[in-house]
Amino acid sequence: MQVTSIRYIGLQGDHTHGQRMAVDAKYELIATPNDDKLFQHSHEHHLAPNAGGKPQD
Amino acid sequence: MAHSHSHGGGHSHDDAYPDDDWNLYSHLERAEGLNATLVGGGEGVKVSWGPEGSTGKALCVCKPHARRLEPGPSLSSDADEQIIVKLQFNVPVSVRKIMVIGAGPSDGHPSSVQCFVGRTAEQLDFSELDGAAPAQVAELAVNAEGEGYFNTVCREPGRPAAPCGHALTPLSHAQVRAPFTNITALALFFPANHGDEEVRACSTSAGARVHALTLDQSLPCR
Repeated sequence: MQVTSIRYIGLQGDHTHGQRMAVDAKYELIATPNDDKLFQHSHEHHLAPNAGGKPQD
Repeated sequence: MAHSHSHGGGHSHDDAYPDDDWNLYSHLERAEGLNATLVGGGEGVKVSWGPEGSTGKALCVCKPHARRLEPGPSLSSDADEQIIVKLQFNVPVSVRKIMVIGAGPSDGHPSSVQCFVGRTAEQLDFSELDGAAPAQVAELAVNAEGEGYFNTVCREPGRPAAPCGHALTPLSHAQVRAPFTNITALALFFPANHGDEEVRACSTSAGARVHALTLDQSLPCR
């Protein structure tokens, strides 16, 4: 085996002064009309289709 | 809102080398070398040109362009001939050109490099290489004079290179530069060196040995 040796890695290009900053985000759950149908309580606890469950007939 | 402005033309923020346009080293937050050992360091030897607080032994090869031919410090592979250099920038950068210079005998100079960007670059290590798709792959000639470099991708990832003598459909500027634009992570994988190249003898029909070609040189032009 021949050892690999590197003396220089040069990178040319542009940079910005953009900074990644945390933002203060607030989220609110808002019910939609379909929620009642999808999540209605019954003796069979079907999962919502968008949660991987089988839709009720 | 984040303050942002770009520096076209790539002027240097290194006061000692204000005209260095190979200056993205001055925005490195971390430069990690996997399977790599720092050679030529020691007391009194400068091994980092990165900004204050930057870390990683690979900082020793990310130096001002004017110092590119200095023999040390350098990085050498450890357990085998492969090296991964992972670079993390402290601001978004757009990489346009990359230059690599080997150290020591030319047999040990890297013969190719695979470039990874973004999250792939951040997570890259030797165990992740099989499932990782490089943004660009480049063959590297021995560059002892420090004049050779390659431009970052001139085609889309996965797009085949044009066969010799055939032009591919021209791409827009955004398409050809996208993978290396506004990135904060770049990983360079050096899989082999010039000592690995097979030397093959080509014979004439009469059986006389006339020339020796490296494996790369012997590839037919399709």
